[in-house]
Amino acid sequence: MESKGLQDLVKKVFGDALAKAEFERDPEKVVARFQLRESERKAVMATATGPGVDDDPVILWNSPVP
Amino acid sequence: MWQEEQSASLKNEIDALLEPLGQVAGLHRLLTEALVGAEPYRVGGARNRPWDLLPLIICEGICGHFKAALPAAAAVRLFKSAAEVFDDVEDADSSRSLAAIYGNAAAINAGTALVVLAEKAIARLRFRRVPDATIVRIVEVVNALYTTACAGQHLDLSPDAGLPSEERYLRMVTMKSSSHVECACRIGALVAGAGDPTIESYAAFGRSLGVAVQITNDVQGIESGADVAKRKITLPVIYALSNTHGPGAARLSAWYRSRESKLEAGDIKELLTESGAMYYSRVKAEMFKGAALEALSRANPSTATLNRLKMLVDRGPSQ
Repeated sequence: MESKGLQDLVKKVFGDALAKAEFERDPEKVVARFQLRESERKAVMATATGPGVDDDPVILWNSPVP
Repeated sequence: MWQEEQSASLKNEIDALLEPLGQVAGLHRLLTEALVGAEPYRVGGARNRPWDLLPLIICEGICGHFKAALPAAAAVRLFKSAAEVFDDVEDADSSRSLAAIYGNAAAINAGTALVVLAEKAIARLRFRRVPDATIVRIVEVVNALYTTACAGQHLDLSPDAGLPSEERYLRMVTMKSSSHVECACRIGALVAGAGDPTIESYAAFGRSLGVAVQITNDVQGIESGADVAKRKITLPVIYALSNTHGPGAARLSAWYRSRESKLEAGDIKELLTESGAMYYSRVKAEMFKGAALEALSRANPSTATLNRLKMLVDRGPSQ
């Protein structure tokens, strides 16, 4: 499940202040520069535009085994 | 509301199983304490842990009623509580566990009682007119998935030669954590008499959802600082230690590989956030949520069932 494209994207965005600013302005434009699978692209966009982790319904589940 | 009705029915089912133990008040109290740690058992709890209700939601979605699945849901709840009791004995990382409060011997005995009660719960499916052949299949599913969960727990407890890879970590999570959720989904569909393609779709939904839940929990564990204090190796940590370099990475490594670093939890959270590890983990959780929802669509549930399950995963409509 490891993905080089996704790791490259995260390294770029979190290693380059300009890239991070651009990603925050227009995530789709930055995402298009990386070779991501469709599932990765959707997940990146959902994370960029979705609720924070505290508002994520999945957090209600807690860990199945702590 | 449907959740309250299902939670109340599940509580009655579990109470019936515990009732014969009322004559040994101490054990009954320990078992109740093990069970009430989970919100659905506490009817009216503001924020339920919804996965206990999975067998009921799925069964109702397929055959139109949920009561046939109550013993199966009770079994899942009891197995889950037993796993938590044993987990607390094994890693001794909770001050509120049965093991911490009453000692390992009492906790192990209570955990064993929960396992036996879970098996009794499955046998009660016959009172719900579930065919014997289906009950046997459910026993097989439960045994297979809980054996897998034990194997995952073994991987988690085993000292690793080094930092686990992401692949190994996800394998461990799938075995240890997702098995419980997959089991809940699979047996809900089995009780309802679904065909194999539908059963497999719901099982895949549970498997992916279980990983998403665990990774989200990993992220929250860093956010709250709880996992940082325990130096727990979770996905954000694995990503950061494998993919970042420089002074920040060295400080992180010192924290997680030795016990002598003087970093504060806030420092660790900041390093994990700045490295992109928290973001990466949230994206991975979203990917597994996406896979879960895809599997759910393959099961072709009714709109009501789809909405109930989606609201547990995503910000879907509620009813």
